[in-house]
Amino acid sequence: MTSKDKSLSVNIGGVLLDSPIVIASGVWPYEEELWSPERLKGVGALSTKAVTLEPRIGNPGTRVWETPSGMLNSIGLQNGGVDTFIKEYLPIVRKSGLPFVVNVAVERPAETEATLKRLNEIREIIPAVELNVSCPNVDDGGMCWGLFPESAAQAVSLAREFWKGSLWVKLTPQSPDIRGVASAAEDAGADALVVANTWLGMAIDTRTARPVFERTCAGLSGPAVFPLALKAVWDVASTVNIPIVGCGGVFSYQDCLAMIMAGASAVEIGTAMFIDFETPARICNGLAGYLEEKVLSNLRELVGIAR
Amino acid sequence: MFDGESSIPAGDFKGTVRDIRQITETVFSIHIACPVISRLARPGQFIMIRFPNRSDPLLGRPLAVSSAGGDDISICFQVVGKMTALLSRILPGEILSLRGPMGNGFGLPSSTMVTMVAGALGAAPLIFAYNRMPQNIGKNFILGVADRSWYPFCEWIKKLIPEVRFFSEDGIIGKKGTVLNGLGEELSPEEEIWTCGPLPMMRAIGQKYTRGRERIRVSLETRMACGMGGCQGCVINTLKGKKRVCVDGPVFSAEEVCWDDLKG
Ligand SMILES: Cc1cc2nc3c(=O)[nH]c(=O)nc-3n(C[C@H](O)[C@H](O)[C@H](O)COP(=O)(O)OP(=O)(O)OC[C@H]3O[C@@H](n4cnc5c(N)ncnc54)[C@H](O)[C@@H]3O)c2cc1C
Ligand SMILES: Cc1cc2nc3c(=O)[nH]c(=O)nc-3n(C[C@H](O)[C@H](O)[C@H](O)COP(=O)(O)O)c2cc1C
Ligand code: FES
Repeated sequence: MTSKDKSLSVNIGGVLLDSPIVIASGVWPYEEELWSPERLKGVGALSTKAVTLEPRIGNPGTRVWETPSGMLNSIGLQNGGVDTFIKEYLPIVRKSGLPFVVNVAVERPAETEATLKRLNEIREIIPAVELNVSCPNVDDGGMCWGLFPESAAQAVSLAREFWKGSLWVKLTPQSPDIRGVASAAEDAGADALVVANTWLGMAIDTRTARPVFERTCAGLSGPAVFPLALKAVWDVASTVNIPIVGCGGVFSYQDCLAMIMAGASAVEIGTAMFIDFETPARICNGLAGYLEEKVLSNLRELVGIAR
Repeated sequence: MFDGESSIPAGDFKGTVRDIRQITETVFSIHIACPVISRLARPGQFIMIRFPNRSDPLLGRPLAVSSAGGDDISICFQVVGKMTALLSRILPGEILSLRGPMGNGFGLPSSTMVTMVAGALGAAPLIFAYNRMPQNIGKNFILGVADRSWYPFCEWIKKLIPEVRFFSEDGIIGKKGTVLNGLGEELSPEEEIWTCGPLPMMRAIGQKYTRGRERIRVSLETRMACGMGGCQGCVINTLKGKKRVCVDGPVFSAEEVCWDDLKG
């Protein structure tokens, strides 16, 4: 299969992807060599590291910790701020020729507004914004916005006002009412939903008898969370009509198929890129083989069929 | 000042285990056939190693390349946890997944004499550096270990590096004391130090000299997840801001590292 094979193409909130595999936010560095087509085989789109208005240095202390079939991270949105992103990194991101989404961490309303205004000024070169109402690793805002329908609606409405392009909203699985949040985001103008960000977890260093992370909790990702992410997609798919991007622990083409059968139209993969650069190409090959075997012409025919 | 170029891994490759050798109760050395990495690897670079098709342990573990030649590379490691325990039981013919080679490496010397200072397994990248040192550069090798249990390891190193000098805390192997006892009071302008080992040792070396710190290259260790610069899990504070140990390091100038911010 090649990435030009249209049987895997999808439309996520107006963004056309040749493959349903999106590299998730926070895992792909801005090293130029990594944005060449050879290094991105099978990739349909990429999400950038979260962007905030001002630069952030991220969290001190231990930032990553392995868990059984998973990992915890507490990076804390380290990034150079929106102006640095536009000036230094956006040209690199655009080199890949692939669609991309700019992951914008929701901060205080004035900051979020300013970040989105900056991006909106160059809207014609940015395919979509992925509004991150789900970062577990910061004190101000972050995940809080995505916990309840009311706050999610507020954040998404604000984004809708200042960002006129395609708007994806990345939900947190920590919400006690993810369906309510999903509906609220849809009603407030989201074009697609990413389900979901990391789960809150923690680790204790038994030698020091202290939490491993300075902020105690951190975000869990990797194969360990896959069944949880799948359920979140299942739940959200029963509620909204906009496209869903499944995210959490996707490693194989079977994982990707399961997400699609539960109601997702595409998937994001994060941790899998840490262990195998070939993951997107491998998943695409598996999907293409599956379509051939079942004599299907497009992956779209499988969306939600398990329901 | 040493300012190595950051380097992302060429890719993920399969490597076939050629042989495994037990050096001490807990230290092992493995030869792995992996032509691409063998061809590209430079001293001080490392690989992220994992078992394909295993999700636990999940992430690759950084291990220094201790030699590269022909199609093969070698690594040597101490068993400290999940992955290293599994690696110690691997058999010839088994397949490993290797991401690399990565990191800036030690680079080329900018002086005429390099003293390599290793603490225990910190010897791994320095063995490679020693063997690839340009002919016109003078070289010393100092190895510090804790106690007599390291005797077979020291014997093994001696075969690879005949002029190595040993220091041990109990004085059973080589001289009594730490590697610091093997270093001069001042660092002459023609000399530089390349070091790898436990953080307290490197910190002590990095802070020993008031003059010439820019001629000390330290190979640091942090927890890593991706080994490609993406996760920002391995960052340290330097005078030039945050740097990622996996691709901007692991080798830094001692002058540049904010030692007080490093834990351990
Ligand atoms: C650039 C670089 C090069 C390196 N080169 C070498 C090399 O050449 N040779 C070498 O031997 N090592 C090297 N290392 C170190 C090596 O990467 C680690 O020893 C290795 O990752 C350990 O993996 P593991 O799965 O065996 O241990 P893990 O299971 O990951 O555990 C690591 C350590 O953490 C402890 N630990 C785990 N969980 C807990 C907990 N809950 N509380 C308290 N402690 C805990 C374990 O006991 C163990 O000591 C290098 C590191 C770097 C960064
Ligand atoms: C190291 C690391 C950094 C991350 N940074 C971000 C981020 O900046 N913004 C965001 O929305 N999600 C971030 N995430 C979450 C991932 O994008 C993804 O939602 C999550 O890891 C679950 O997917 P996975 O199991 O495939 O990794 C990060 C994840 C990891 C592991
Ligand atoms: S280990 Fe991920 S950035 Fe260094």
